[in-house]
Amino acid sequence: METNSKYNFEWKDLGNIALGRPNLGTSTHVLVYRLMQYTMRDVLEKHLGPEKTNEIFVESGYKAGAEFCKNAIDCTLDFDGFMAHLTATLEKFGIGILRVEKADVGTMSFVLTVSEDLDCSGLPYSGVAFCDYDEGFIAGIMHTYTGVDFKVKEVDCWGTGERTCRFTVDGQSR
Amino acid sequence: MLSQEENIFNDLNQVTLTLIGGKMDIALELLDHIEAVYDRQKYNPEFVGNLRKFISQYKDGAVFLNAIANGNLDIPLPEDPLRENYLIAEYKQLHSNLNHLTWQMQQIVRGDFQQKVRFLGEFSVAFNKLIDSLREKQILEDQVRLQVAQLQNLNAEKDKFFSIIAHDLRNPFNAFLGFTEIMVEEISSLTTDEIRIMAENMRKSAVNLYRLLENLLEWSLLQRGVTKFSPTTFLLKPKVTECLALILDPALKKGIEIINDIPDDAEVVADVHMFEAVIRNLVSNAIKFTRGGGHVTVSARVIPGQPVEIAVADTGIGMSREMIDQLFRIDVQTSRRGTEGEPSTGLGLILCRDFIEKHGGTLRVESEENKGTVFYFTVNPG
Ligand SMILES: [Zn+2]
Repeated sequence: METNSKYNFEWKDLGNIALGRPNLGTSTHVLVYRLMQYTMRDVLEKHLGPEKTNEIFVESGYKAGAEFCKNAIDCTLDFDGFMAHLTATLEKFGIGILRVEKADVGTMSFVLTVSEDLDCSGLPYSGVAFCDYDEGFIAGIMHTYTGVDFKVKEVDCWGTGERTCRFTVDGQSR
Repeated sequence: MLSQEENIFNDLNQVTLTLIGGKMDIALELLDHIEAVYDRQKYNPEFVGNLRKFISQYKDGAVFLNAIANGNLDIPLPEDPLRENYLIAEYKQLHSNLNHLTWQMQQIVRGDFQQKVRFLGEFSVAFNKLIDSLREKQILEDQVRLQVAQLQNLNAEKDKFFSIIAHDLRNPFNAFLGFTEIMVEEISSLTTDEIRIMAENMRKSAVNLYRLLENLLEWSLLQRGVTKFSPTTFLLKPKVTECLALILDPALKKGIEIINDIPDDAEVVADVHMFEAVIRNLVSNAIKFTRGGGHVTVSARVIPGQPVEIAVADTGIGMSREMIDQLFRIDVQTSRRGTEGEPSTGLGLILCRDFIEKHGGTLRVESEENKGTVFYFTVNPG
């Protein structure tokens, strides 16, 4: 990692949103979220190229997933309980509707879908899967819960014409 | 004679018809034929290329859909590295929905009745009703199981009660009646010493009987839920000294030393009456199962912010693993006579546990045969 980084994100850096926004509240429009994400993607791609940009999105998604899991999900539950809690929490925060297609806890191999995804649902067809950030996010969550590294790949996306984002999630042997 | 353009047009028309007929492979072969036979200037190669791509994608979609239609959900997703097969998007979604439905079904089979299906309209309504009724059935079954367990426990308690009346109450009474009979019939021929010994034995029987009656009464009050529970704060050491004074007699007679090793300033919150019963029972038991020359120590461990743990330790005959396991089971006969034949019903310990649990504390035991036994219980600090 770069050595001269001064900032290291922590959950508490998100601040007390309820206190800070007594009138506007803790929610905002998806449009605003996407405006920020896609303008940032635009600028990053122009400066660093698409490949490096993808890496940055995956890496920051990973960090977000890990912190989210540590601070918003009960990691002491068994797998079924954990998935149920995760699903409910992702829905509560309006991130997306998580569904399990396949789960093999023994081999740590999963297929998950996210419908009504915050990042990409409703995007025009472009032949490109957009959810690098989600890939990282899921990997971060799964790593925090299991302690195992995961390879997450988005195989379907709104951006490539599907109506739900589908991820293969595979644990890498330690 | 048709011109080349007309032939190409006819062949392309044939491609379309074949495609409509669902014969994708033949359509692709016809395209091969067009590219092989005709002059590239006479037709638009890009158009033919695109048509080929369209047919390939259509074919991939058809193969994929065919597998799904036949219920083969294990089919891998169509090869589409460039992500340009827009035709299969809906099939993929169907595939995804069916996979999820399968997973949900597996979860339901495993007993997860929280699953909700949001797919296929009427189907999901009926399916969710089915899950609801399964959940209700499970709740009912759990309730029945709980009630059966409660009834079994009640029955065991009733049996215990009758067994105490039948044996434990009867034997000391028999002894007591025996002594009174001798006294009545032979008092004139007895020496003063003999009368004194007999009176002492009668008193011992009477004390034991009284203790047992006291425990029975306490226990029946607790069973009926009419026990008064009013915790107060008090100093531990003097309270234990007070309790010990009442049961010192048998210890002195057996030659057992009783030590109150509780820190002077330890305070607890407890119902005084229940607390006394617990100490009285645990120490009485310790005395019963310790031989002369041994000792019984009452101590307490006080850690700020944690429950106070009180220990009643003896240097007695101890218990086997099996006896420990059965100690608090009301349905198993656990009575065992003391080292000098003292009667014991096991009721005292059950009473102790119930009283301690009413305070939110726990009672546990550590024991080794011929080494001794320690009972630990916790109570809230003052
Ligand atoms: Zn996506």
